[in-house]
Amino acid sequence: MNHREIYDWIANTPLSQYMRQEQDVFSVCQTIHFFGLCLLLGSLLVIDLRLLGLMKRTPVSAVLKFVPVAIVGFTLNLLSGICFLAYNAPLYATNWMFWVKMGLVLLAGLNMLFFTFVEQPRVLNTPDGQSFDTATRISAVLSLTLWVAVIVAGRLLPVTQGAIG
Amino acid sequence: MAGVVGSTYMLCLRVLGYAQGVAVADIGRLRAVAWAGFLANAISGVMLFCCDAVTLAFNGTFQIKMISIVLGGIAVWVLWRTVGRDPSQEDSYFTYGAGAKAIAITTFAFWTAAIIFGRHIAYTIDPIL
Repeated sequence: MNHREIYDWIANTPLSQYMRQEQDVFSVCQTIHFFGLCLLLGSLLVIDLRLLGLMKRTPVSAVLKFVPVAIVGFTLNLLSGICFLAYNAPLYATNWMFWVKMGLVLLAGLNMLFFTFVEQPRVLNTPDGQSFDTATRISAVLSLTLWVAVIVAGRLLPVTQGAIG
Repeated sequence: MAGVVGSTYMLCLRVLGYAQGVAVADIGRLRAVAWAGFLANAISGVMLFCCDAVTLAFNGTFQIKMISIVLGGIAVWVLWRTVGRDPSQEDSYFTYGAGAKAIAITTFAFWTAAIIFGRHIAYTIDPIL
């Protein structure tokens, strides 16, 4: 299956046809995308800044209650993002910034998995008042940096649209 | 924008009773991020406004967005005045009353309105973006 066949397959899906018929839905999806990223970045700010040693009044187990908020934000972004892609797949697939954004999302996701499965058990066993290890703090810095970079790349999509990269 | 609205959302969620154990005073540390985000938005917003000031100034959606931001700013100020008093803000497990929760919902609603109408401006100027 070459890329042209993939575009055709996407264009023939009911979601793609619906997105192209109902222009207002694209605007609604953009609003949901913005709302989702506010939930995602807001919750990550609380979690990552706590891991970096700020907010010491709050136990780290409490701050991790914001993880589901981040997951809700990411899910909203993922679903609305799929709608954008269904609307006009070639427009995004031929934009090099889109692939930069997807690469950054992938790196941020891998970092999140590393934190969840490797660092989080150690973090929860760290006594109150004690700083977290270097790997945890690097993971927190990477999380904030990568997600901010994802937002920047997303905002640059219309700028690089049609540009050769 | 995500810095301003995201940190405000987290404050609202905490006041509404989510994430008990997180001290409001700690979420207050995010105010520096919120202010930095707000200033970046204000500067870039003024520059964008100057590109097409007449069209935007008479655009109803833009006007509603600006009103939402002003009311959202007032609401978050009132919210901090309400929940920022000692010792409640230091107590990680403090449960806020109906008044504070009502202000939190109002704050959440105004900033969400700012996102909705801000995103919709493009569609009221160009038929298809």
